[in-house]
Amino acid sequence: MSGMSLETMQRRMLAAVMQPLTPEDTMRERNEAGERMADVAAEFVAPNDRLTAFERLEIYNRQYWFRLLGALGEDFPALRRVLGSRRFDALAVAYLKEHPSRSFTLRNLGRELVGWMRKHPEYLGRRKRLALDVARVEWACVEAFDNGELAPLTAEEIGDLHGGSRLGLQAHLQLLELDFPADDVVLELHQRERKGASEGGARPEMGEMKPEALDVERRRTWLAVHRADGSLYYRRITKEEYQTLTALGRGLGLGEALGAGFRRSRIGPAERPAALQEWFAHWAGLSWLTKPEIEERA
Amino acid sequence: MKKQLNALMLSAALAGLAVGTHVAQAQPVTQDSAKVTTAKGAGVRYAGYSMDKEKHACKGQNSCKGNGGCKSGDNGCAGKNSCKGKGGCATDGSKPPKAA
Repeated sequence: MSGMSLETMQRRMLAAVMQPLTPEDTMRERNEAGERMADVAAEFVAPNDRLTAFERLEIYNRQYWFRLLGALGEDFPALRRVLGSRRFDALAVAYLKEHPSRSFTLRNLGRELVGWMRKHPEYLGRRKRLALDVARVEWACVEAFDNGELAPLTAEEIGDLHGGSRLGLQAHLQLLELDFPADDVVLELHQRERKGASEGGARPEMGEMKPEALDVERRRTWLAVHRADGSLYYRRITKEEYQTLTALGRGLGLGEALGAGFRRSRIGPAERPAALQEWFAHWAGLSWLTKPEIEERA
Repeated sequence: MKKQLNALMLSAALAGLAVGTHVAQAQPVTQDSAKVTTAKGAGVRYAGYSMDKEKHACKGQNSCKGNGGCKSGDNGCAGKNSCKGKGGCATDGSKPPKAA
């Protein structure tokens, strides 16, 4: 232990703690560099009368992984049920090896998961697209629940709008284009999760779980996940609503966004004004439209 | 013709905006807020997460979850990552505490 700088000791400790566990959830005998972990532990951990240096270090190694896997499982309970616990744990370990926690809060742990899943379909089982959609909905819930809330447009601001005006989207509003009605799946699986927890009297996440049998057919679905007074809501939207809102979110002017909204639309020109009036009334009622941030900063 | 349609569409959108904003600002007639009342009328479904119902490893400590714009890192649950779920979104322009 002597002669090792504090920085070196911290780096050695961090590398040891972040090293993935064995399939039996114990610390590995050797690290990736081939060093014996018993020797590594002895560099900076003193044994006591009950535990060796290896065993003391192993406690931290295990707790690191248990905590991270628990946190990820907590944010993606439906994905865990779609994949089954064994496949989910393998996915989580592989993901966390590439994207370890780099934030001061575990809230951000799953931030890269959807992108990572797209690059690693080998971890997604048979229903790859469904798993991806479920993960997207669950992450959208995290964002919608935690993000801030911007002031909606006022009547005065609406009075000043014209075709070139740009609008912002509410910070907690999440817009998704899905291959499956994954909101239904997530709702159902979250209900089963809660039911399992209440029947068991405890959180069910640690037990082994087989992939859920799901009767869901592929169907293009457009979804908004948003928050109202501290509660989360799903709202199915039309393709045209999705296209208009995302166009506004990209910073297009109002007139251009309306045009983009009806790209490849089956809604005839005569029906469009009425549809727009209804949509904008709903969006404003839900406080989805705000001043664009760029104007707020100016 | 196209210009006329575009003008009609813009007018319709602005009219909808005005109506929706008026409704959102109106006093709620039930115990729900105007926003929740609007949400119920707009085909939304409760997604199963509420600030008051949310259970968490740090029971009761994640008080700002769902409030958005919350600053994290208060270590309220000493060693249990209390700030998970607190967002740390810093929408007020503040910075999160320095960490690895």
